[in-house]
Amino acid sequence: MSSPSPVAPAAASPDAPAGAAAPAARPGLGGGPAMWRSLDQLADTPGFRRFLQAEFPAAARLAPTLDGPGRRRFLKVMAASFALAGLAGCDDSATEDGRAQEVPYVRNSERIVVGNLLQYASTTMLAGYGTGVLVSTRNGRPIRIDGNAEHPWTRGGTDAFSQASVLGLYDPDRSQAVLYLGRASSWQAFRAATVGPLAVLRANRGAGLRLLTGTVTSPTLLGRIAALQAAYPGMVWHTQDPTRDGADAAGRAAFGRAVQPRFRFDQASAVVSLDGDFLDHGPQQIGQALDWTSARAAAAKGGRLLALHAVSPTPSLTAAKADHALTATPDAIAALAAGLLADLSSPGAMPDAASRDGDPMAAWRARAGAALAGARGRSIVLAGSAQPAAVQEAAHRLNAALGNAGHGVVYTAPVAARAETLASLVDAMRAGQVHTLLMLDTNAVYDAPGDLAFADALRQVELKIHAGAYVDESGAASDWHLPLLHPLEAWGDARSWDGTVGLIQPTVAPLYGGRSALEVLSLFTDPTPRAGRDILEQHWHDTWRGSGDDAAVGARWRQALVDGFVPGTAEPEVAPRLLAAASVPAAPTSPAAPDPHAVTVLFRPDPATWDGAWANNAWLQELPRPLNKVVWDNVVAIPPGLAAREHLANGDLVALEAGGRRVEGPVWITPGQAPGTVTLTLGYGHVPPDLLSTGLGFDPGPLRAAASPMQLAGVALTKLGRSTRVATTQDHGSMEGHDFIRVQPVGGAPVGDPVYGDPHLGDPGATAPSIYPDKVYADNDVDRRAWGMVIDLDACIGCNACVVACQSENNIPVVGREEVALGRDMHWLRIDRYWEGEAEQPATHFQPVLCMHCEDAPCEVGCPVEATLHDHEGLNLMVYNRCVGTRACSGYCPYKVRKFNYLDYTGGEAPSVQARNNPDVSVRSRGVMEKCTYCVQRIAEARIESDKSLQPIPDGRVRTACQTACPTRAIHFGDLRDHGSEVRAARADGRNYALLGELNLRPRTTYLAEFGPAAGEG
Amino acid sequence: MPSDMTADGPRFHGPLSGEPRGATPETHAATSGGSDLAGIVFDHPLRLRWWLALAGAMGLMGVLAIALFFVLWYGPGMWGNNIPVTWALDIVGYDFWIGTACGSLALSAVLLLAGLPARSALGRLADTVAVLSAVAAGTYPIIHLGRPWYFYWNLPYPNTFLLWPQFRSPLYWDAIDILSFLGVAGGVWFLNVMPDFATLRDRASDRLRVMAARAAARGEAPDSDQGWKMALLRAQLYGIASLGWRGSATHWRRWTEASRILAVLAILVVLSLQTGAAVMFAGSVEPGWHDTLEPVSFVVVALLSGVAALALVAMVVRAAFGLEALITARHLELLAFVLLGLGLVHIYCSVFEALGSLAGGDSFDRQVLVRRLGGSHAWSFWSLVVLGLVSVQLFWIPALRRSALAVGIIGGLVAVAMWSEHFMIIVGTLQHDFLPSAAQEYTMNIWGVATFAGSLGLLLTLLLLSLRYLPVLSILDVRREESAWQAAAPFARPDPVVRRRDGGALPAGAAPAGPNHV
Repeated sequence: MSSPSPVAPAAASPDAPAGAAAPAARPGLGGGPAMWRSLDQLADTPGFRRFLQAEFPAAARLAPTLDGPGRRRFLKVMAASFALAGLAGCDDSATEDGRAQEVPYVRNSERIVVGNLLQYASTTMLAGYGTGVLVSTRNGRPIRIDGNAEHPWTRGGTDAFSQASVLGLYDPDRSQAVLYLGRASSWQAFRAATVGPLAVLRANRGAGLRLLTGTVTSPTLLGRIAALQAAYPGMVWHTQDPTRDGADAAGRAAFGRAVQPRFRFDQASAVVSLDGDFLDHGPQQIGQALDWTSARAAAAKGGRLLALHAVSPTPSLTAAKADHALTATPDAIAALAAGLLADLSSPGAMPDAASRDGDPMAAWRARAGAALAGARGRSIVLAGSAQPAAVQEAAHRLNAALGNAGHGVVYTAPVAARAETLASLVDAMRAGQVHTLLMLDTNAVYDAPGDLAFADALRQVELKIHAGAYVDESGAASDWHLPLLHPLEAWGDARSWDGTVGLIQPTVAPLYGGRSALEVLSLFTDPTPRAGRDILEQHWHDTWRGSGDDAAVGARWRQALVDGFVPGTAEPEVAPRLLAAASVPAAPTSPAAPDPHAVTVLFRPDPATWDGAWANNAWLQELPRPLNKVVWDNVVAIPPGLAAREHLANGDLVALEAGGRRVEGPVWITPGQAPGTVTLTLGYGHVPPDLLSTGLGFDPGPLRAAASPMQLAGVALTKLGRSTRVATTQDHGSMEGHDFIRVQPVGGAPVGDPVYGDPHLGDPGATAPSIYPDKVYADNDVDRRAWGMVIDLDACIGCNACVVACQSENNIPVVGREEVALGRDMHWLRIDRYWEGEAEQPATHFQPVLCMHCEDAPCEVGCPVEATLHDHEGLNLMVYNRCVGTRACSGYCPYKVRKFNYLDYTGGEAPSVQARNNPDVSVRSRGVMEKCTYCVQRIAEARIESDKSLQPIPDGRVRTACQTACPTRAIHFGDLRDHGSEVRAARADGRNYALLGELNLRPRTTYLAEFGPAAGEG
Repeated sequence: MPSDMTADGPRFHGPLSGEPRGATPETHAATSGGSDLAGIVFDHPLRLRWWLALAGAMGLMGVLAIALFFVLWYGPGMWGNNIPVTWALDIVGYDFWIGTACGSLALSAVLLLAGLPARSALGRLADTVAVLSAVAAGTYPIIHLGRPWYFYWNLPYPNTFLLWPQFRSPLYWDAIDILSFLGVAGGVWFLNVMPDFATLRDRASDRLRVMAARAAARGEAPDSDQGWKMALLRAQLYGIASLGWRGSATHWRRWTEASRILAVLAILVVLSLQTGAAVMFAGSVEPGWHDTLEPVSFVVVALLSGVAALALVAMVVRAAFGLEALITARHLELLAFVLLGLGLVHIYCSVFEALGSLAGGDSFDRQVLVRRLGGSHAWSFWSLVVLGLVSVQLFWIPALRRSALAVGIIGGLVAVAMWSEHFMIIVGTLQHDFLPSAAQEYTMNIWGVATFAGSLGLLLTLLLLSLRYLPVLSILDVRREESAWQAAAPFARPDPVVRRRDGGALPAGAAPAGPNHV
């Protein structure tokens, strides 16, 4: 792939800004041209000197005297030449550090047609793992992330993080320059300053050098780390990834080695989850959610329910989708795991099926045990990565006892590399053994467990170098901060959860003067720094050298780039041998006399900001968390019982204190939170100035302990008597006795409504009378289409990918916490979450709600200026430039899916953020109503295509943004009049029903009921 | 007040005809009641208090100016409206003011068509309240828009896009209704005040003549007098406003016809506007709005708020200008009876609406009812009940019906209650309609309140100006009433005296007893 066109006519030589102008000289410039402040500065660059040497040998002789009086004379003579030459931009050789430069096209590539979509296969990153995606660019700008249907793990799905990553590229808060002690510096200065220390380190064979990274899956990066290790043999590499400690320990205890289980839901008929997280946010989500939902759909087609039994201490997406959900404390979960293991260890043993009613925990255990016993070899037991090693080990042993290994459960070696722990690094720092620390793409000062006091220990390090995308806590605490490139502007690779290697290719010239992680490591190992592409290409050429000649390897490389991944690189399955249990995993001992005010704190990654790495992404900040619908904040999730006992209301501040470490945060009463526990999500409470995330939420980090980073018992909770307002997008969680969500018992009578006798959809039969006049369609339009959508609630896991995709596709503005608190969030697509049953043991449901495109739309009657109206294909259109803003349409809408620009939400967008906007969709001004359009711009595109080719629009040609983003393919869209269309087939399903169908507005969007246990089983 | 009763008694014996009784062709025929009303205009008896009141009202106008600046500059987001509560204090304020206007105008029109003598006491005030409330209401439909500079897109005007408003929309018809209302109400008001303008014109001319005569007596030019220019301007303005009214028989005949036609139109436009405004809500499918009783109850609410506001204004004006002889206990009693009757009709409507919700089987409707009674804005329901429906029941007590204070205060309470009712209907439904997930609490914020207070300030300012520069009651009607009474009972004539606050009789110079007094 050749370099794509950059955003603006930015020469964007990575060197020019660094050498030519200190970053301070380009304040607030998003992707603007790289300007030099004066020729004095420009003339300093080595590139310029080489250019002079090559083009004007005589002038080059003058160059050394440029500072003196000769400079003026020289400039006088050469001014015209300089103006024409474009200076260092014309230097087509690699720059002095060996890195190639992206330059704008002089003549456009034939593939880039202004206004047309051009997609590149690439990879976005989450927690060190890759997500195979397509990057959609238009006019040279990446504007959107789409799923890569060919990728073996994502299979066309995406998640909220990958969708939002495109905004991160344009983030004006990104680090834009090398900083030395907080002041603008340059890469040259960094290299000059580190020549000495690195030479000393080399001489000492690397003693005193430490590398700290997050999770690393990138084969090339691992190669470079190995090269670093070779260059500095005494270097020690540490990784910071607390979520995997438990999994690795469990693997070692059960099999003697760390393993990564993978689940084949299609081979299972019962799934038991011990606080499992396979549907929750994380690198495993996309692929496993699709596997699970498709296995569930296939099972339902076969007349059986692939039931999910889930126990969890805190609400999670996995527990929300369970057919048999149980809320239990962490201790109880450990006891349940041990109990199930005891019940099922002997082959043929059947658990005691008594006492099914009464104690919900006993009932759950009996039911789950019976399901597992009835499906030996065809079941799955899984435990979440946040669970203690004992529980995860019990899951391994249960699978072994049930004979599931190799069938429902397969094992691979962990995809991510592991190195020394963070705790050992802190020990070494305290002991004065660390001279130079390179923190590569990690923010340990922020996310290290509080009891390590990482920041204190860091002060003992002489040379602290931080490479990151933001000047975050670690950047501020370091001597040198190096700006990292965004994955959309860099070369690299990463492996997805299954191990498939995805390639990262830039889709735009770097907006700021950053370097990729590969390039940063190259500064330490290579005499001449190498370009990321060069490093990456060489790594894969080296890897494949044995497989063929150079031409074959080159072809393979190009193919991999086009595909976005390297086929056949999934981590192979292994068959680890089960070790005998060291001891019966005893139930964890709780404190002898439990303090009634002590709680167990559970730490979880935030579903939107993860561990803080995504905290600066405005889309994610404003993304309602799937379960509590809170935005722009993290909260202390407390069970309803605790709230009642302590007289706490939502937003009341509490202090959590353990071992002298203390955090304060607002409480949020959370149905399904286990008694005696509270959950804190990570990723908030950032302190560096001038970031979007600064001052939002609170940092739970100080409370965490390195020994058990995801859980801490014996924490004192005290009410502070103050409160704060937490913004949420959904205040009410009950269906109030209505059937907004329907559950279809597998094998039972259909719960859906009969297909409407809708003449517009080509159905025979009359419609019920309506107070709204029917749209009269022109009869002569034989090619008329009827767009419609069907959303499968069973497949919807509430992951929010569609919400971000919609925001990205339709230029939906971010309004901020205060506006959301007022009730003015702008999402066209929201996911309603309902609790059902008791607050202690609730069932959870998700329902994506967007404009229903009612056939008899009340909004259209309300509007006095006809700014919202029906088109000939049944779309409920919104004409922004006709809207005067009476807001009658919203008042008339029974679904309340319309959003109003109460203020000018788009005018203040940073120029760089504006550059991301989808040029096909109007940016709305203040005073204008907006809502879901079924991605009418995509329909229009297909319509034009169809008009040109005189062919009908084939089914599947138009896919809405939410539909493409959905990892589980829960959204079907197409022409309801096309009797062969997928959406029509879905609408004919017995589970199909309309939300508020009794209003007889004949919505074009309908839902498929969730699957549930048959009547007797519930 | 038995003496008043006797005194007022004959007034109701007047014929129900609108024909000017006694047919005095001179517009400034000498009747002391009318003259004294005109005297208020010229002599400004409440100088200090009027200025204080005006300062207060202008202060509220300033609040309106500030609020409008911010709302127009930044957008309707300055108010606390949200999704789903897209209409809140803006439309509540609009519906309340236009309801008040409609109620007032309807009362005035009925009094006129029925030829009730009470028109002499209440007609002018009712017309004034109607027009000024409509002006206060008129601020909202434009400023509440997201893009107010395109307000005219609501109207059918020819344009190059060949775009018309959406004729099915109740909002479009509401815009038409408001314009019609302003036209009709303005017409009713002006037509009624025109002969008074002529009286004032003549009085102003008389004063000029007096000035000139005095100047001549001093041997100076007429315009040497200090107040000459102002007096001349006044005479000219009143002259222009009276449109050349000479009081000829033809004038009277046409005037009478026009008044009656406009009165009929007024009743029609009131019904049309209020039912139209109701269809803005009833035409949706929203629970609590979608109700066939809605148009009826909107008319009742409008009448209630209009009559209530009129009662309050009448009480204040009566006390301020000492018009006890003109706005009598009988008139107050009439207002009290109307309020009581409308209150009973309102109770009927409310009960039937509630029964419909309970028995109708629509759970959304039922939940809206439950939230109205006990939700976060239950205060609006209970203030409607207590201030509006319960308070008017006090009028079963005869003494309270005749007490100006009681009628005024209860009128004020009822007006507040009607505002609450609009709030309850609009906000109560919007903030939680069908899907609980979409429900969102609404809280009033300072800008919404400021805008409403400002619209009140606008009304008060204009009201004070009209009280200052126009006769507070219709000179014509009062005079006509007097002549009717004179014809019926020439010997029991009471002395309709504009009582001064100082209790003194009218000094000869301050209020000329007759037009020819020079």
